[in-house]
Amino acid sequence: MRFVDPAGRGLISSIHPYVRVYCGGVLLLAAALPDSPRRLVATGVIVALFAAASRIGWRVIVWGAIPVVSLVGGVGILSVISGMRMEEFRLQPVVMFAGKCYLAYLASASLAASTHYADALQAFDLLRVPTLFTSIAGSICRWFHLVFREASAANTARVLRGGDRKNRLAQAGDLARISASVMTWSFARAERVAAAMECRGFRGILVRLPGRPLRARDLIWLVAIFALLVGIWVVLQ
Amino acid sequence: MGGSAIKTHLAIEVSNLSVRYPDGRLALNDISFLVEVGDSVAVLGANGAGKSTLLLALVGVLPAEGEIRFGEIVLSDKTLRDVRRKVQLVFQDPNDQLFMPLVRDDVAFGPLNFGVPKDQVPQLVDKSLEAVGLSGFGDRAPHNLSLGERKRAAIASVLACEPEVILLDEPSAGLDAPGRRQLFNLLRDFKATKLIATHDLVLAEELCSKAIVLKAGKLITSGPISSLLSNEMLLSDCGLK
Repeated sequence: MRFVDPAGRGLISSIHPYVRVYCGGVLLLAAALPDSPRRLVATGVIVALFAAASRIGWRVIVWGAIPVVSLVGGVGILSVISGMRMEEFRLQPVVMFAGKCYLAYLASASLAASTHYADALQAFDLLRVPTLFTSIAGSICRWFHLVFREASAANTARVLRGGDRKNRLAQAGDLARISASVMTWSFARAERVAAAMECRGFRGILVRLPGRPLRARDLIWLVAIFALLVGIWVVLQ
Repeated sequence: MGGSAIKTHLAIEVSNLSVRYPDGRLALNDISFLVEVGDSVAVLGANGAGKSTLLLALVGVLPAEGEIRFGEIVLSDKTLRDVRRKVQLVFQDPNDQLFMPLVRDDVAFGPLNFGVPKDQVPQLVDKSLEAVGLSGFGDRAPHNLSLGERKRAAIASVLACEPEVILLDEPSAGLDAPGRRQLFNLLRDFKATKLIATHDLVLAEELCSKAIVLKAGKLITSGPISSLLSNEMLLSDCGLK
């Protein structure tokens, strides 16, 4: 999980971060809806523009294809195991399914690359999503970041002490041990974080400051994307 | 730091404090000391001496035997909230203390929980960030800050609660020379009563007028910092030199 501050990211950074989040949400929904290849391609073009504006790297674009291919392959294998015959196979639904999954991934990855998760949480706060959910989501993101950093540090220590010279199986064993120790540490950290929260008066209800102001004119991008998607939907019947 | 202190001028009064680990071992053994209002007192000791445990016990995070009193308030389950309104702890690792998505959310966390009106909190946040030299850092994510900046953000999160007593756990750990200097200047300006757990003797000498020395959970001695730091044998015996 990688969240990047949007500073210096060109066009995308000029859009209010909450609007970026809402645009991402609309694109995610739009990726799930197409019922024909033409609509899927048209939606794909808009998502691709969003991705280009977010300047996600080629690596992110390519890596997203791997889980999609695995998912489609897995569903295919399960279908064969459960008795599907080859003459029942149709390419178009498979492509549509894979395309929808990939577009959903691309929209999410673009959002994550251009928008800080704190802004995403506050955008949800503005939509009156219960604080409990946004707080838990925020804590999970923060936890992921810490675990990732500690795991990276542990892995660097492993490599520096010659861990990369072992065979693959032994390396996997080392990585499993690192994961176990990072998880254990994260529980210990959770206790200390809980203590820090208690010390500052936390009693189970999280109160947060209001987010950045959102003006009506900030919503123009959301309206534009929404209008574009509806237009495509109507024109490409 | 002694029995002769006038009670009304006492910020902290600890009597016969003992803390046990879950496995039954004694982490702190029958500790008693007094801290006067406005004093800066160093809690000196080697790693594992019980410094952090003492601070955690003082804010009621760890269950303890004995009596802990802050001014007129005796620490108990009933008074815990009142005590935490007056007494704040800066953790050794700022990652433990900065858990919100943004620095300003973290600094606002305490005041919002302690019932400061919501419209006053942003000013309090700005004031606290300014006090630690982090104006303009409010909208940054804690994990994007350097260690020194995170330490100062953690201190700001405590300052925003406007405590009367600040407990600091190894505040200089991991800081480079400029970071330490910045921290020293910052801490020196605090008017609150300070209890600083450290094995950094330079910090203790610069910021504190008195000290208590812990070794293996026991209070070995207490007194003016200058006399304790000139006692080479004591420092060596307690693993401080």
